Amino acid sequence: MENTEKQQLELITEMIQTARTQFNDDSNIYLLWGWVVSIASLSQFIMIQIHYANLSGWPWVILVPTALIVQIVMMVNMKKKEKVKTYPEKIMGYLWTAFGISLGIVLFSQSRLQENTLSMVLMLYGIGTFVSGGAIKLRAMVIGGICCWILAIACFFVKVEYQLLLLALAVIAAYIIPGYLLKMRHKKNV
Amino acid sequence: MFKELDPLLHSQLRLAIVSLLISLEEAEFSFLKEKTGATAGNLSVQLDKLKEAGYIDIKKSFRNKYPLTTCNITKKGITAFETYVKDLKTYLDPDKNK
Repeated sequence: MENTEKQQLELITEMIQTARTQFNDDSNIYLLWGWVVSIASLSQFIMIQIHYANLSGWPWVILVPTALIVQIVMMVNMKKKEKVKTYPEKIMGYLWTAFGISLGIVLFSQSRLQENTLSMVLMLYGIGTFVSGGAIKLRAMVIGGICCWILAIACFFVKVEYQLLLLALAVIAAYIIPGYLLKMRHKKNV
Repeated sequence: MFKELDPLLHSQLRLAIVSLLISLEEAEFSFLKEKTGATAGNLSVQLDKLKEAGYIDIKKSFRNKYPLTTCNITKKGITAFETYVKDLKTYLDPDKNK
């Protein structure tokens, strides 16, 4: 009799473990924003350096709306493939929505925040990646979040154009590197 | 004292289903089939039994013109699962329950 009870308990443990390690692969969204933000900030920096400062906002104007459309398409496709909904993912949905709204407020208040804008943006990146990294148990992403906060402080001490380099560095640490690691993890699990 | 185990959960497949659903907000039929290794026929019979007992909810819809079944555990199901685990422990560690 006891043997069956033990087996039952093992079955419960095994199934809970299976469910807990179940995450949908959203690495492409991190990579998308990682590449878009790093390319846009680096091109803006270069344009300022070669005296095209008046046009330097264009990489953002072109890349961000494009990335938003790509993200919507990606999310619709992911929804089609999604077989489970986990609690951590539900919380992350709320988290990134909160991030998006806060980012919108910060960017809207750019004229008041002036040269402090990017520090605020990096602080929000820090929250998003730190919490997500914790939820999906990806240490590199947690570290990426911490990097964002350190770079947010650094931003207070450098000129606006050099802040762009710190922004690029932040998304490499918080989105690009963890994004590829996450992709590798999912490939291994398939 | 050995507690009588909930017969509805004291079956390999039904216990596996409830154990999976306890950690998920919802799961599709195909996911449950893959993880439990059950046949579609057997799985759907057991899901119906759990639904009749009020342990799980079953939603039927369509995705890309194909039928889609998603399941989630109910409050009653969570309570039943917790009680089952508690009762199971009395068998494994009888000394504690004397």
